[in-house]
Amino acid sequence: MLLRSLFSLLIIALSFSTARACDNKLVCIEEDNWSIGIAFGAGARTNPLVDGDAIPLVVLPDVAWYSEHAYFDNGEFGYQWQLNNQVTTETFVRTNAERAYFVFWHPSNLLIPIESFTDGALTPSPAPDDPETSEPRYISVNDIASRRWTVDAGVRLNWFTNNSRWSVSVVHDALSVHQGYSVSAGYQHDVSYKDWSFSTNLSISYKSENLIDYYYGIGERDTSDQSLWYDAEHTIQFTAGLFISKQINAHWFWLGRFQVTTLGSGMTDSPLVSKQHVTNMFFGIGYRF
Amino acid sequence: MRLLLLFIPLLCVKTYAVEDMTEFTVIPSECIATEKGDTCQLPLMITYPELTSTTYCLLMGEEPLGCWPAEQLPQTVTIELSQDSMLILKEANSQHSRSVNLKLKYRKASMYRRRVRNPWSLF
Repeated sequence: MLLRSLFSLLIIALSFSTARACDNKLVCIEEDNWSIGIAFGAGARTNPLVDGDAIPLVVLPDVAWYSEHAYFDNGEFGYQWQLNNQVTTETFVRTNAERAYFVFWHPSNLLIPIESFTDGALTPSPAPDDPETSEPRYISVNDIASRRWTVDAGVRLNWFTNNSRWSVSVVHDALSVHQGYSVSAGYQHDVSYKDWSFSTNLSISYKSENLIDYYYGIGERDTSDQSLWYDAEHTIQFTAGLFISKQINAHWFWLGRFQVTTLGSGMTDSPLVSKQHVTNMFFGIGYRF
Repeated sequence: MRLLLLFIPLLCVKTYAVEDMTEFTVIPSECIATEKGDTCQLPLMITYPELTSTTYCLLMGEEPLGCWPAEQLPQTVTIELSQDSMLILKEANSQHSRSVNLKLKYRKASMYRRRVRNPWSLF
């Protein structure tokens, strides 16, 4: 009797795992197959740095490949283990995105900045009549020492439920450029309805003092004006985003993306930073090969 | 006419090859599993060629299934496939062998996985 009950449970469990097959066209990928897409449209990612131009997004690539364990997904190389039906973990390396704000030819911004895309992040001009602001309080990204790029190495744990994903990741500076680290936790919910796919995400990130200070701290390396020197502290950032896709035919689809990230006081207190958040949006049409 | 004469030996060779292949057969020769990674149980009905030796062995690829006197070779055998394989009939005391291919197919042609990064997230 007990054996029969266990067998029934096994059958139910197997049915459940089959029913949970990945079928959301937006976030699922066929194993051992390159997924290559290109999207054309209009969008931008704002730049929080003083004099930092927003990065226009006119062409967006999407490149991914997954084998049973190894994968490449939009600049991230990783190796994944399936711990059970609902839990996976992976180790990965990827370029650190912070430097994208400082240098134009970063993997995160390969497109030509357009003057009209500047988002108001120009050097703020102190009011001439205000004695409190008679000293310059900001420093332009064009007037500081260059920051080096680096590679993050990390581990991530994912827990998948129906249409949802919880994840926790820890990444560390693999090239010892700033010797900092960050910890992130996120939740994502994916929904498909007919030709429409929706994906919403919320996440929180902690970025260590070493990481923030290397990129957003101001010191002797940047200026001799000590009034601008700033020792950055760690920061906590929140992100909320929405992806929408509507299939037109086998290859073409409409695509929309909107994401906002708050930067945290450890970063926004820097004389180098003039915005409180970064916005990333794109609307266009995509083609998947 | 000369051209036709040139082709006759080729046709003969081809006919001989087909006949040779049909001597050792199994039914069915394909097994359908649910999805990639699953194994598949395949009950085979085996038809043997004219046997001239006394003892023969059956192998699944490199793995021996057993050896029998020619007249006692099993007519049915159930094997488990985890990948495409070959069933080999080998004379026990020589290197002569015949084989048939066994194919493993999947009901779900492809495995789909959840991406760890969102699409279009390079920038």
